[in-house]
Amino acid sequence: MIIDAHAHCDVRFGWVHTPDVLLRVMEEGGIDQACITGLADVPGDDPDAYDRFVGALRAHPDKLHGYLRINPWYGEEAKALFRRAVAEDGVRGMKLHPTTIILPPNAPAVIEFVRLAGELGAPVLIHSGDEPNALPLQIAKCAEACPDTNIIMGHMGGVFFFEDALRAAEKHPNLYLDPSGNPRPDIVRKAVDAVGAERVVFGTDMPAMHPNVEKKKVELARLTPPQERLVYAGNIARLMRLPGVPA
Amino acid sequence: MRWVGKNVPMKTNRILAAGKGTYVADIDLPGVCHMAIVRSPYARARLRGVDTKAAAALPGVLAVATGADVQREMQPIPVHTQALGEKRIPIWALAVDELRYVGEPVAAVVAEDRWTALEAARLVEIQCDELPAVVDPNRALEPGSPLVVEAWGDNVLSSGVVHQGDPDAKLAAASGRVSGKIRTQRYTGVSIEPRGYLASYERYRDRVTIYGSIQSPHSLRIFLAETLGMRENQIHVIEPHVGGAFGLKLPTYPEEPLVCWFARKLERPVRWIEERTENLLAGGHAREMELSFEAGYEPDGRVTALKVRLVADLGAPSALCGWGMASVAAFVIPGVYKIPDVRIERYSVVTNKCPWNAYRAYGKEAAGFMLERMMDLVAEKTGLDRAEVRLRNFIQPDEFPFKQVTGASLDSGDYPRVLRRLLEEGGWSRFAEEQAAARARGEYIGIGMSYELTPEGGCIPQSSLLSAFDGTRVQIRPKGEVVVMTGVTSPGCGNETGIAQIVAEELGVPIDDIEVLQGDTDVCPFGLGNSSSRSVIFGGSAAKLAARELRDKMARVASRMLEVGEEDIEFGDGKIFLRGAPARSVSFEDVAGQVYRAAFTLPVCDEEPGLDVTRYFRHGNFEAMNKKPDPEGRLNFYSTWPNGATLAVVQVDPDTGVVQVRKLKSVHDAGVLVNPMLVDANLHGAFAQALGGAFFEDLVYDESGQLLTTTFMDYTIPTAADLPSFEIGHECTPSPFNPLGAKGAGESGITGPMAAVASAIDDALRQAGISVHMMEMPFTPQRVWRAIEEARG
Repeated sequence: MIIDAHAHCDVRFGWVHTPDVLLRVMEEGGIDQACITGLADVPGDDPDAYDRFVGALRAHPDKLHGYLRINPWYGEEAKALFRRAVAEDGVRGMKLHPTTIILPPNAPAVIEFVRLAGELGAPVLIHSGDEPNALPLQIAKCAEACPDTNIIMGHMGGVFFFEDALRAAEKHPNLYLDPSGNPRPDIVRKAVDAVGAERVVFGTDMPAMHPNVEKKKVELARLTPPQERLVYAGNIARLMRLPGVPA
Repeated sequence: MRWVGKNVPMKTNRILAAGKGTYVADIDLPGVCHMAIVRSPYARARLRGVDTKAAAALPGVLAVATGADVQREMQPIPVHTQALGEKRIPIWALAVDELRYVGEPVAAVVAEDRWTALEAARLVEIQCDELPAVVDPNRALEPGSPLVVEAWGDNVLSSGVVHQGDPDAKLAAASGRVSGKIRTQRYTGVSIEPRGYLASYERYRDRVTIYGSIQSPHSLRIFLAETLGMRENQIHVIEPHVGGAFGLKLPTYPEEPLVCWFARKLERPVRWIEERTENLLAGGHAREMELSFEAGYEPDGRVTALKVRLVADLGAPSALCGWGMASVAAFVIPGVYKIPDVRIERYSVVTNKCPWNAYRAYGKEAAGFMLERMMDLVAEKTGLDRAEVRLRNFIQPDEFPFKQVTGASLDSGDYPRVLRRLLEEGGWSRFAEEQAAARARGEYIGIGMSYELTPEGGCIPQSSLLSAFDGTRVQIRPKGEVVVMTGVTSPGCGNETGIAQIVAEELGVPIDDIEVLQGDTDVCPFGLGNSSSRSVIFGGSAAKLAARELRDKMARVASRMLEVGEEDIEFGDGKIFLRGAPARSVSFEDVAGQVYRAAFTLPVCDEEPGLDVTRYFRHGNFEAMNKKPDPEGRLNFYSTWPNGATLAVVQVDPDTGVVQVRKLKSVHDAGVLVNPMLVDANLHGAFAQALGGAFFEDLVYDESGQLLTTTFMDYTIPTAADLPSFEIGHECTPSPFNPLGAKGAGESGITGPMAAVASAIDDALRQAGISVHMMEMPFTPQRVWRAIEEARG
């Protein structure tokens, strides 16, 4: 069983990654299920984004699970939307992209939302990388401020900040590492060595990356079969409370 | 009406803001085909062969070329000057025997469409023996290092020493000494529009026309003619709208002759548009320098001696002009300060990395960064205020023109006035209270300041690219319309508007009646395009001279038409009138019409027919030198010397190393400002690029010579969200050496912010009880965090 913990499904920015396209690529790459986000922060400038996103989840409940990509600048409106998404529309997690929301993860406004997710039992996927607002040590401060929320650090700090990602995850037990899109071939091995297989999730960042590239990174890590089961499916199933998947 | 000094919106705003600019990629020619470049994946290798069979067999491919073809049918690409004694190798448009950096062009493919060209490029097989590369300039200087050019015997492109007085004795005698090493990292300009060229061929005239995202059409024509073995008359260079250049589009890149060569060969238009990864790999790099310094000072803060060792990593040899940045860095030391005993050693080193091309600030930034860090250290050691140390070392206003130890001839300035205004307006002396209040909230903020000297109007002996003159033609047409054709160009920075203002002021016509034509070798007088802030200084001065000559002629004709004395004539609002009696007037259009249509009448018959003048302006700051070395063997390389002071306030998070710039203020002296609004706009852009370099941008190579930062995901640049709102003030000490008094502002604003934020970070961390000196750029969160951890032990 392979569950992709980090995939995108939307039509935006020239990317045409509809559910059909995503499912085809998943099949090519041997991915059984995917946890997806859209490409627009909601609420925001794209009024149809929310409906597109939950529409994809509804259409493929056994294949696709969702993190709602939230825009904290909308305050209470955004909080209400997230509550509704979890209660009524099957959303299981929250996504925060510091570059597009123009807020670092340790900003008070962001921390409010990360805490809200924790209260609702939803994990938060936070993009990290080389960009100024998306640094692992900023996510570490967020993790410290929100000990009751599980946070997945997407991309593990990009090219130059991966060591910070490891250091942050070592320090904060509520931080999980997602090596998707990280260009270092040995990144999965480094992640597992740092925090154990229990806190590393497999992601593809589709359509930015292809599943076969990301699977190769897991292969190169030479994990034991139990470790591989956790990384490929068990951890994200536990975090997202996916039905029918052994954690 | 006065036009010079007025905030006039850029003439091109309406077109560009509406998205209706015409860039190279927008130009459509029938039958256009597309070029793709096969680039070296190796940092250093001996080339055995290039197999192009599979690529040539791909349907849709029209031509494939390798270094062997180029060597057979072209000449090496020339360099812009050979007068400074740098080592040289022949630079071919495609590699012929050795590969010297990842991204070097090895083969070129032309196909019916871009995708086929890219696919065919993928099929080209490079056969070579990979060799160990050298990517560290200090390692490159060691005996036994791999050699970038084996025939040279070492990796030094050039070196030089400036020595004045007895710095060793003065250092020994000084009451105190400071030392350190600063490093500016390798980075580049990343203009929004990458490079791009489109060439077409007219068989009946055997003539090539190239449209290029370029800066210097006439210079490019010279270099293309030499490379392609054609006459200059057979080459027509056009610069359409350009989406940013910053020096990095100065000639000559291999792709420029290649598109022309293919177009002539195939008798079809050929286009090449650079991709962002190519831009980062091979579009010209800059900045990578290390300056080790030792300075002696007295208790009153005066610096009495300075020794500097400069090592610059130029990347691989090329036909580009970037190598000069290392020489300029050495040339501008000790900047705005009077330090009598100085020794500067420079090593311009080649490595297996992308060659340097010119980039805004052109080496002045590294020198300025070092000098300002040095002054901060002296302040720290003496316990004096950072500003006070600078004030005590400045060249004084009554000492201009000032001959610096390197031979630099500084035209004008009042550094104390500029700095004092900055300190007053920037709240320097009141900052301690703000800092204490922040500390009480758990925030660490710091203030820093710096002084920059950014000489402009560069002039290199025997150069076909950088010289201190330019030409402008002003034509008044029979209906009174004014057309200005100039050899300087405007890659998006508004020179056309400034030049129109200068002409409008002379002729008393509205600016909308003036059309400025640039960037066309068939239309404009010979000139050297855009670089080194030369457009207004040289092109604008030439425009002023030409317009003045036309004004005098129009005044003579009008005086005869009005039957008044020529000395009583005035121009304004499109009219020519009797001073003190504006009702007694003729329209500008009527006088122009009289000149053209009534050439044999009394008002005109003593004048040469026509209203068309071309003038060349040569800058006066070189007359005394006559471009020959002075008795000490020194040359002056710059016309004007703009300068400015910068103040920065930052907040540092010691837990993450993240630095937020809360305030950036500058007081700047560019002499007379033709258009203050456009000067501010240029400075805004410079500040953004400066902060990009200070905090984000870094071209990182691994030890095998592979570039790790080839996309904007990993080569990060600042966004508006990362920048504060900038504050700018202006002072004016006119340059005495040109008729405008202008000094240029195109490169200002890079050096100051770098040094000011470094100073401010140090200051902020002092509040947290942490002693650091940020000497190495960029100040990434990781580097700041590590410095904090080291300081904490």
